[in-house]
Amino acid sequence: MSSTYTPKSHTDSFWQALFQADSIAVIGAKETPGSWGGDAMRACVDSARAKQGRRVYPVNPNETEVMGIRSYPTVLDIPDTVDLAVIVVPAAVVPQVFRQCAEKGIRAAVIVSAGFSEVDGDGSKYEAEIVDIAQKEGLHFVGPNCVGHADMHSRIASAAMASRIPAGPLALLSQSGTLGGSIMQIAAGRGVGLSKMISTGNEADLRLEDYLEYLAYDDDTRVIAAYIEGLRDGRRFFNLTKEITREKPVVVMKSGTTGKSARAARSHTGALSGSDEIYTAAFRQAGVIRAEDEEELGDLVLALLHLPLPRGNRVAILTMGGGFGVVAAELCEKEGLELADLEDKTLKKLGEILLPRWTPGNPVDMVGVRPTEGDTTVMSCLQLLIADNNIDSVISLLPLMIRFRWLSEDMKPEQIKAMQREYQRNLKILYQDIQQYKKPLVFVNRLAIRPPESDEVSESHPEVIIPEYSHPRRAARVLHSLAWYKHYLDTRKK
Amino acid sequence: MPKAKQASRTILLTEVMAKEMLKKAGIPVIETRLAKTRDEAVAISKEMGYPVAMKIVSPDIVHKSDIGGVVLGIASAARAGRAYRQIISSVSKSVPNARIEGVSVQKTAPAGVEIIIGMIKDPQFGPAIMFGLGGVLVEVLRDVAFRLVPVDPVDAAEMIREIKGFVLLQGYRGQPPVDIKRLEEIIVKVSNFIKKNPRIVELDLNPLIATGNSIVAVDARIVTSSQASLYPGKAGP
Repeated sequence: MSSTYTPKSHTDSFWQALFQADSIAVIGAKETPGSWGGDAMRACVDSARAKQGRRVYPVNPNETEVMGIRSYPTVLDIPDTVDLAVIVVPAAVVPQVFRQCAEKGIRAAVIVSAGFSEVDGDGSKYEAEIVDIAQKEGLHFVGPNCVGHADMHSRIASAAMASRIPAGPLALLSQSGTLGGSIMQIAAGRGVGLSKMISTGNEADLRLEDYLEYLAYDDDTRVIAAYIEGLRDGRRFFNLTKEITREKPVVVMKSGTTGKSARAARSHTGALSGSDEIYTAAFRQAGVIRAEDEEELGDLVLALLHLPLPRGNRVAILTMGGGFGVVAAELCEKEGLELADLEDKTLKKLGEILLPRWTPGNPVDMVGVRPTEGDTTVMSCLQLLIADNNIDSVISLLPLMIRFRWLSEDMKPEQIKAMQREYQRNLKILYQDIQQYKKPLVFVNRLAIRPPESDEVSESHPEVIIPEYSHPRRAARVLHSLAWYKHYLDTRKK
Repeated sequence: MPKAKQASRTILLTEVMAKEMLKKAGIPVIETRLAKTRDEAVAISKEMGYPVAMKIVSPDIVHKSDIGGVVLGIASAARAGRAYRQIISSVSKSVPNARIEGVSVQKTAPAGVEIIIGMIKDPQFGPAIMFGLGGVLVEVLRDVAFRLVPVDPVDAAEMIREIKGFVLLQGYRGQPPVDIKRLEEIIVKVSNFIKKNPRIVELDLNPLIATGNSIVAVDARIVTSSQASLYPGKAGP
């Protein structure tokens, strides 16, 4: 790993306290739902309920009790050790309570409070004070000016927005609290759970680079996503990601890309180098996958978690009807993919499955096929395409099972269940093919056709996931990014 | 956090010094020699073979051609002598206090594709190498690619292919293709050069002229700082 990394820092008691705390103090805890103090307290009460033996202590000199738990005037009055402090008092008071945390022997704090270096006035002074205390007393903190943190596996959270997010393999770092929340929701909406989430705030002590280094060695994390507005130490980010991306994909959404920051330089090179050009260079060189927006970030994460990386840019499209196929083909080419020439043997076999008036080619247009119940045309076509040596990835503009919702309304529950089982079985077969041939397949569901749902099956966790996107452009962008990442890894093998 | 402001002075090296440094690093530059007198200018011109170009050499002058400091296409000994005098008198008139070291005499570059390779130091990421097609349109079209130092051969290959103008390097409309491998090597050499010389804060090789069988830097600008730091985001030593 990079030279700045010391294994000790990973097992440092700070990280233990942050993600595994047995005892949490909420300084500035309130009853009021929707207030920062109320939300942080609620999140910490939920954390305490999630793990046996975990305690939470409200600290608020104006209350005797918060959410039914006895409140203490200061953290020093708590008759127990405290591992983690969540601080939600006004900025002017933070240095004082933070000093008490140090005195109490607390190793980690999450400072949610705002009003520090991000505002004019005394904010910067308070921030310098808490940094000074942290350095002298040897403790670390997240924030200030953040929405908190969460570990979904140990079920600990200071961020209320994380409370309903399932545990999973995605770690999220966000330099914006609200955008982080939005990304979490989008990911969760696609069935992607989170390992850890950190709203990094002003990064007065710990920076995005520090969290990144921690996540590199976090076994619960398989993919790292980050929303970045500006890095404090770009070189370190670059050196870290260059190493991390060999093992774990890193997806970044970076804002502030449109302003052309002219440098005060006497050279042509200086005049041509805006900050975005340099970020772009760093990402490309370090294997960082870039997402334009939260939706694309969600698309990419889903694919990276469930699909193998394609060997190249050659794509096959399965469609029903020329229009969808033509539009998808154009978008694929615009996004840098190449329409594959299918092997003769694939065309021949497709000819045997499809109607005689089928025109051989790519996109493969299943024109005229009316799949009835138990029809396996889509399944067979996809299997043939995945096995074709001339293609690297497949976009299916058809769902695996073509059953319109209104047709399923008259079905008996047993029939629906049988269909569901068949659907899951086929999905599993396809998933195995995808892994075996190392070719990603994505579905594009433009008509929002779904297999009939039965409560029993839809609530259980699906055994395999093949990503489905709402538009071929999104599918094309994802496949292009995956191919780019694969190419990056192949050319940087060491 | 307040960053300690460090007093650092920057110096623009003379073209002759810059090219000397680059040549030592194995980066191809067009033969350029300093003439301190008119007679020297004539003798060097004759030795190099006409036509030659002459440029003022002064640490105080950034834009040489604006003040009559450049004469191109000098084709005879008589013209070489005249060019020397003309440059010295014109520059002395425009910038009376300029320290003049003499005039650089250089071979006239062959016709070919103009390329720019440059370096800036980003406050966050440190030194970055830029590659693009040179010439007057470079700042308008912004058809350039950046990579952070160290640039390895794979990075260099990618940045060359990243620009839209790549087709021009492949031999557009009957032109011989540019030696892409050689170009990759030069980019990597520039990156290594920057790594070894942390005092350099700005570099422009503009243009390099690429023909079917050669790539050579015709003009070079190097700005150095009194403080050595590869990564200006961090305090220097």
